[in-house]
Amino acid sequence: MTPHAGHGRTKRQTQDGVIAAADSRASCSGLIACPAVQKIMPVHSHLVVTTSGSGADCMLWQRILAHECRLYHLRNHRRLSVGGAAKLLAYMLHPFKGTELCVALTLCGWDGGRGGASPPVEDLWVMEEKVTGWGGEEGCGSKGRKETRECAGQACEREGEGEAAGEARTEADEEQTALGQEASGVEEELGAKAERTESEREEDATHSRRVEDGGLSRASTTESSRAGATAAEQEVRQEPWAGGPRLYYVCSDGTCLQGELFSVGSGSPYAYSVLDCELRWGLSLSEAVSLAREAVYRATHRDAYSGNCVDVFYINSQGWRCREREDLREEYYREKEKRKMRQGEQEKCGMKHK
Amino acid sequence: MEYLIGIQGPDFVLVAADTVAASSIIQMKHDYDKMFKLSEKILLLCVGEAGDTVQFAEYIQKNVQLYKMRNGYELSPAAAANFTRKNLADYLRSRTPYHVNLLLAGFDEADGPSLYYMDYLSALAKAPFAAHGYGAFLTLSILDRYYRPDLSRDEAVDLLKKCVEELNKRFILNLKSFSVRLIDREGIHDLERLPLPQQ
Repeated sequence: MTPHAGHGRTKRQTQDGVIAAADSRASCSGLIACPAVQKIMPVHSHLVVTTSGSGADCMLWQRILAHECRLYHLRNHRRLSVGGAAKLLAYMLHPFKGTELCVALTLCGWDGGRGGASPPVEDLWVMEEKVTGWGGEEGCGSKGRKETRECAGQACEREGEGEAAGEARTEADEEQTALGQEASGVEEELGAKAERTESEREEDATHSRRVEDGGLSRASTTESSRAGATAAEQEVRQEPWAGGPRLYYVCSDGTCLQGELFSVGSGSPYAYSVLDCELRWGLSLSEAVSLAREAVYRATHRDAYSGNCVDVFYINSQGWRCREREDLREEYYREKEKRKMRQGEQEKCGMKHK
Repeated sequence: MEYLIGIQGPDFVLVAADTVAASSIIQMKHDYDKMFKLSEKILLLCVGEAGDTVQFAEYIQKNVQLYKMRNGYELSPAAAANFTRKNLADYLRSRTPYHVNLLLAGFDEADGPSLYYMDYLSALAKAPFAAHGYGAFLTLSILDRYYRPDLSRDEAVDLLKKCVEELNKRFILNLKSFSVRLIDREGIHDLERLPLPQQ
């Protein structure tokens, strides 16, 4: 009797963080084994894993992953990056390919920041792009690292944002340093109105010690950024990379994908369709959270193996935090009421027209 | 479901792969890169079973890099192809065979461009043009009809576009976009993704 928990789970990456939402039903051949399961589990302060598949396998592999991440942290004095954790997990699962192991996990986390990994050294493709000068200068300018490879890696991730930061130059606060500019400039330009508290801004400002000449945005002329880069090279390389949100999907069949939106589980097609309709860049945090919740709700409505409650987690540079568990039965009744009211109004209008 | 194609010219190799990463009926990712850079002038295109593709391709990739570190010079495409074939063959009759189909494309200073076709049974063949996947049934005859050994780069890209158009027309699955790369004496170049954005 293998409890094959089919779930509806959605994860989404926004500019400032990752949102993970999941239901809480564990089923076992037609019976609800437990209506209040925790499917989103933290691995460390900046990484959360959502689980789907066989309940026991998920619990075990989440523990193994947390154990390995903790060992890495102790040995290397910094957190393992989300990509690193995903790769580690994929390689650990590979020997079990072809067996009955069934896990589909998404790793939602924030790379970098204080105590986090350095920018991804990344692979051979990035070296190519460094040579052609694409994105390399911008990355160099703000990160202050000697190895342009790493800058280019960072610039790759933020390619769209780099141009946006340039345009937002005039809006950026002059007092903010390069990194702070990049972050807030990106936000304002791309219209993400996610709550950036004052403390977050200050933290970003303290992170980036280097101030560019004339307080220009980092995406201004290449000369200033190059000058900034050489100045930064001389500095002690201690400032942590501010990092970014990351989302990976790892499956027991060996798949390991990085992406910006994943929905996993038996209810996933229902969730995907709702998300694909409404999702766009520029959603505020509350809009994004309510969209994630809506997606899980629709999946629980249609899928027999998903249901009960919804958990929503939000991971940003400060770490993860979660909303209180919400029973979706209430949502179902609320929607039913709304439908009834709408129908009543339509009938009234109909009668008026007659 | 997945599609790879390679066309060899007199001094270049053009390769393309679709960019969909699917899981049963769902497209999980639309911009997935199936090409693995083995060295400055060798690309390995890899499709097949989920997980096996990345594991095997990265294993080959790291080993080719290791060879370069140990010996100071890079493996030639022919050597890399045969190394890959040997590994695939060794795993074939083990408990964990890798179910992957590969195209290996490279440029050698001495031998010029080369394209190798390899399938999951580790059959290796050097070919002027090759394709993998269900799409190959539809496009190989186009390549047979229009391929010439002295194709220019533009002509090769046009031939590739013909193949993609045929897929869009007759293939039951929607392969929306393809990543395209060209290998020549200067190295690996990214070309514009197909299909081109409509104006």
